[in-house]
Amino acid sequence: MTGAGGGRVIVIGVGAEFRCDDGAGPAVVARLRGTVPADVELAYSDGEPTRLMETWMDAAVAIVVDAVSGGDAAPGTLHRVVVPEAPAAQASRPVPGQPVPGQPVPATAPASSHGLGLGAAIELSRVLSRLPGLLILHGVQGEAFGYGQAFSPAVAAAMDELTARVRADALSVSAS
Amino acid sequence: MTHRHERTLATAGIARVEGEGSLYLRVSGDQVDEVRLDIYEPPRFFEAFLRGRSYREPPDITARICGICPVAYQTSAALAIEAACGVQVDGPLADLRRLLYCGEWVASHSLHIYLLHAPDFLGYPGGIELARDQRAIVERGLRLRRAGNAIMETIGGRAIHPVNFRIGGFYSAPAQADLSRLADQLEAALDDALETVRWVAGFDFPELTVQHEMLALSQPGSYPIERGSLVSTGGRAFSAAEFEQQVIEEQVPHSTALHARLAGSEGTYLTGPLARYTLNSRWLPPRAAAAAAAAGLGDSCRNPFRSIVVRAVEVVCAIEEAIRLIMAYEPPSIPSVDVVARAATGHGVSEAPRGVLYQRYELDSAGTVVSARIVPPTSQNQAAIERDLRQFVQVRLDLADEQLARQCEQAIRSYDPCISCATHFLDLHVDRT
Repeated sequence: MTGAGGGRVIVIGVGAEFRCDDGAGPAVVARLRGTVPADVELAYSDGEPTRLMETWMDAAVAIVVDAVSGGDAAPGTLHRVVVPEAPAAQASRPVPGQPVPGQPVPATAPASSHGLGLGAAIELSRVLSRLPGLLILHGVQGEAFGYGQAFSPAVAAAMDELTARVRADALSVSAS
Repeated sequence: MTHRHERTLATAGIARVEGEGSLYLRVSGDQVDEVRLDIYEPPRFFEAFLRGRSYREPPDITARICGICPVAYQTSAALAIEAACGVQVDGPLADLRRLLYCGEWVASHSLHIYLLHAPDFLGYPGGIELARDQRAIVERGLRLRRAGNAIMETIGGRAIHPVNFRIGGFYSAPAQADLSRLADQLEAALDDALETVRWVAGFDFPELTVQHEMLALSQPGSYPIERGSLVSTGGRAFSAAEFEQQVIEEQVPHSTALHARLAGSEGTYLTGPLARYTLNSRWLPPRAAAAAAAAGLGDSCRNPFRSIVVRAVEVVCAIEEAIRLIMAYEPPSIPSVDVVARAATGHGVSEAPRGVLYQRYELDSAGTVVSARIVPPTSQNQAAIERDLRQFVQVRLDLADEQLARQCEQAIRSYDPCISCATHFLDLHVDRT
């Protein structure tokens, strides 16, 4: 499982398949199966930060796909953030735990009882020196997060392009 | 009241998905009038989604309700459906289920102790800040969590939504060599677990004694995990089949969520680590019992803040149990027993890390699910948490809003409510008039 620069390449779909748009990440990973080189690992995550950290910790490149909430972007908007390029974490965040494009990866202050998110996984990995060599975040702006398996129309319409962008990133770093 | 204004004091949290979960306090003068905690959305969607499915599907579907405790959902579902079909899974297969469940306890409790609860006692905003300052301690927690995940991966096929679990047992039983490798990891984890108990026992705990009736499973001869009947500190004793006669869920005026109470009682009740420990501490295995005693836990524990000590003791218990089960393991002759569908209703209960998780399934003769009912621990505890918060807030009304918000969040966190699977955002609203 080595990428062009050596080391593992992994694509991780984050989300819950029964929470409508939140299932976008896993759905992209399912669409990638059989369409990316064998050296690209495909994985799912519920976003729990310690497992997410351990999934990407020894990867040369990790590409994470997740639904995004908060911010001003219209539903279906696609985002791409390369983590090493993001400034150090800051406290300001429209939606804690979720990366918002164009803004720093959020710091985490788990003031609630659960649900440490992707932002926490990144910061915890940073503190514990377990970030992958390159971490690329792909997000789709969601709007429906209730129970169900159907995407909102905006997210459904964006899935092909989101998948294509993730695939393009995976191919660009794959050794095959 | 001539006027009222509402101030949003804190918008804190964590969001896989935004928009759910809030604590609302209404205060008149020096009196707390109302405490409303909207933290839990019962999995009604899944109850509807399960109707019309094959009786073999619920363990796989319900495992997706919660990434933190999939084994609890799988186990209660399987017990209920097997009971409906007149089958009891026993012997080595039941031992494997207990072993799998031990993994979930270790992984779930370790996450809560190290990254969510301990920072509150040590003055850190969260686990990341704790890791920054005390890396070795957080690394110990991560090793423990990894040990729990390793059990789940070995028995269940993977840690999230284990795929090897099925009605009647497992799709395949692990080889002895696989479990032997686990044993080495668990021996090291046991040292980490014992050190964890010593660590958390030294924290300063706010005074809070709750008087709720406590409800937990009982598995005489062992600490209850993967099955059992129900007992309470009020002297109740009943089977899973009697759960819905004994536990009444009803609408209350101030909340959109159903509140649970025990039949014949107006009072709230509590399930989870405090209840488990209080009702079953005598059944702890030796190392866990010794650790509990050294940590100053008596036979019972009624301070929610000290639940972190109970969880740490339960991690020791789960690892001890896992090692015992692995040492005694002989691969079963078949990985699962036949479960033939019939028209009947079955009930299942198990001890999720957060407390009693009940499920009921009604099947038709073809094995199609006619109806399903899921009662998770957090929905049972919601009324008790609200009642305790009222007591907690009442003596802290002189605090500034921000400080009050922070302390309420800490108090809520000590119950480890299951927010991750249903509620993702905690807002605090205080009306002071």
